Amino acid sequence: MNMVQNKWKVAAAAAIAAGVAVGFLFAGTPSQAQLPGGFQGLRDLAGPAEGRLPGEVSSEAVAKARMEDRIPVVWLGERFGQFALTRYGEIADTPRPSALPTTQAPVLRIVLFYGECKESEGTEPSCAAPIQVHITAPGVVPSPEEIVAMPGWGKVVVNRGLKSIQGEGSLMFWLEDGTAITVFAPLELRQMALQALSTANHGVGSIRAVGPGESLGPVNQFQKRP
Amino acid sequence: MVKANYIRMAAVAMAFAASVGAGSFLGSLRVSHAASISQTFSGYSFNAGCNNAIDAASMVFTQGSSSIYEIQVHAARASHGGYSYVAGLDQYFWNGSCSLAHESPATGDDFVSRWHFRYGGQIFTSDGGYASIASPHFDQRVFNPFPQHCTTTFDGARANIEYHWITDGGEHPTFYYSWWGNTYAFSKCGTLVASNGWNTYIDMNGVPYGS
Repeated sequence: MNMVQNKWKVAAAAAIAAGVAVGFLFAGTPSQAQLPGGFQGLRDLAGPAEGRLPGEVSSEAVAKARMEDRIPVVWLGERFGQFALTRYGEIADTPRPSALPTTQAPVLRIVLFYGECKESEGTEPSCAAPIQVHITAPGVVPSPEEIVAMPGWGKVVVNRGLKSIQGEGSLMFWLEDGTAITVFAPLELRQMALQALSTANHGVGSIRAVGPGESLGPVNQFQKRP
Repeated sequence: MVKANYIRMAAVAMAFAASVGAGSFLGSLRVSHAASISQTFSGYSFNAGCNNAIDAASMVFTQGSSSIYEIQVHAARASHGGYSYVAGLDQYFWNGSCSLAHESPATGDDFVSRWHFRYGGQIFTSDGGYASIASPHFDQRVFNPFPQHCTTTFDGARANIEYHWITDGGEHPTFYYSWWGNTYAFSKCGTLVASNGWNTYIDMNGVPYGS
């Protein structure tokens, strides 16, 4: 009888020890909703957009993506799940790291918006599309090796044939010349986005089309406009 | 005998559940210790679930005094750019949870174009002392047809602070950069605006970083 009781005492002690360990290990671990990259903060804001109905693909954005000849455009297609391609835009990035007076020329960044972006009413109109793909010419984004040497970053891995890092809310890829491709997507859609990447402007860049799931390596051969 | 075993099994299960709670409490004491800057702040608070994360965070003030007003006081000085107007808060920053900005220094009121930043802090960090996260931007005054502020740049506004605090005023000679990748693009009055992803750290008291 004593042996039986001792067995239960040992089991109870083991359970307590295991419980403390489990609780300790997971304490402070943010829930999915708290995690940067969680879906909570992203809303596909339905609303009227220029020249098209909410949820419709922007034919202008598609045409611009397919005809871009300065930089290879890797995108999520005309539609990614429920998110339509709604905007094709450009940003002139300041060369790194500082924007203090510099003689360096601005660096081209192509921005693709997926999903609606309806600017807030009020004195400071603003919105952000829930899914975004950015392609940045060399000169702004550090190399993956430089980035992982900084605090707070993980490791460099190869995804779809390119060097890649998991960012905060994003996946980043690098071409051999330093061109950076960044895909912003909520955590639960990021793996799907990774597989969905394909080329948009292979025709003007004289490379073969790269479809979803294939190696993006051929994008390195993109011939930019002289 | 069978019933007794069920009772014992239930007791073990309850002990396990209670100890999970106890361990979680102990663990929370552990994580309440100071974290590093990169673990404390998010430059990407929009995606962290914070409401109204309207501007990219691209600056951190380090080695502060722990007073949330310290940065406001510095910003208001002419040598620091004259950010003497206190604008609206209405932005949340991620510092382990979503927190409303503490102060909002600007170079002008709501009726003019201005340099402006909101900041949240000060949070004690293991590698930067008391630190605050900020979102510099330039507000262009437009009439659309009603008066509005349209943000035209994040990086230019970060440079404005760098120029005044580091170069011109010279009171904060210790600074450094790191890549945050906070390049998320916003539509502002129809124009795309985004940071280039670099973050500037400015030391508040001139003590060399890390010393």
